[in-house]
Amino acid sequence: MNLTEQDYELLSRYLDQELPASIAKQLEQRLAVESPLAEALADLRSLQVRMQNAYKDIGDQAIPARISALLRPQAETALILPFPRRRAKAWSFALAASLVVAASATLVTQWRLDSALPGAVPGADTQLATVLESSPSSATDWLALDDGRNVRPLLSFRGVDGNWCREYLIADTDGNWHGVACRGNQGWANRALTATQPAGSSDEYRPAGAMAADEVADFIDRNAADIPLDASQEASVIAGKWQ
Amino acid sequence: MLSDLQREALLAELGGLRKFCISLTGNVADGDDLLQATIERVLEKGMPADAHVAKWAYRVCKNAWIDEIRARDVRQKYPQLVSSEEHNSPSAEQSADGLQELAAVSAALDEIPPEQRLALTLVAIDGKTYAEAASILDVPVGTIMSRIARARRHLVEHCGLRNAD
Repeated sequence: MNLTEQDYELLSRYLDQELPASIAKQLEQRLAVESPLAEALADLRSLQVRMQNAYKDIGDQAIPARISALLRPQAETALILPFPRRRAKAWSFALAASLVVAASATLVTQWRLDSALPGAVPGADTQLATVLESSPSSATDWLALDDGRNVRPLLSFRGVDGNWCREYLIADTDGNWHGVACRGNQGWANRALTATQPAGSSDEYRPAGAMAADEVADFIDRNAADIPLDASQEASVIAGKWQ
Repeated sequence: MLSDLQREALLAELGGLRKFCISLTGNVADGDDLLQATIERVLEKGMPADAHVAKWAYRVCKNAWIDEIRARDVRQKYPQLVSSEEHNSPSAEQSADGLQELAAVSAALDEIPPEQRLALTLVAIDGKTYAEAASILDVPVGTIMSRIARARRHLVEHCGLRNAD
């Protein structure tokens, strides 16, 4: 008997103690009579033990001094030059960023906010625009849209052109998106947008999750006039309709 | 810029964050480089006053790791840009049994998509709950469930990670 994706998800959640008690009990009843299911659980348990053993000593090791020194209070670190990383070249991604621009530009055209709220144009994403217009940023909370997407405004900042901008995340069934929209006279319009998860089957190995991950950060670096608003400043700007 | 409280909170998270970094990169040296890159990014970019420090740092770490994957891909395409130092094999760096096992598990984890590896690492190695992992990776809990299940299935069926023999 072949196990289904759902079977593996149940076993995985059971292993992680993330199943509600009633469902766990039903699964245990199946495990008692379905040997393929029980064997799969045993395999997953062995995998879990092996993974945990491989990394068990890491947490006990001392943090390298060069790293913990970075977090000493500012007065102590102000005169400390950062240590070079062991492999400086390995962490240079400027060239990589230049190579993904074409790919990310294609994504931008596939899903667009366009100008939305007020005077939304046909095809504009008014649900997202409504969230950007009226909901505060959050480090934890998702807002559910009527069409099934989940949205989280992350930050609000003033752009160098004087317009307000917001960084946001969208989780959709087709993939996840990370973007920045700015509010002009015609409403909210996307200024940067990247896929943070490849659409389609995630069984395929596609390191596209890496694709253009920094495009949004680069946009903010280039266009933010100041540090992001704090919660009270943002609430005030939202109440003032971003004027 | 981080407040002193944020710095203290981040300092308290370094042990767990380091374990996360090493479990993503597969060896201690690269993991420490990733940890340093993470801390430097957090210090450079700052974080909102109301942000959960640990979750924020894990997110920054995740993004730094994804950038490294991208850079690694470029280095494979343009090997002339890679310094000789980067050709050290895991076996040369990691001779002890424990480190060999670390390398073996890491090699298997290399075979699953990055999104699945991130979710599995947070839960199976770092002991995060699904809700915590979802918060760190900015995805719904249901996505975490499916990613972890698919990752485990692949590792068991295709990567020979059923047991340590």
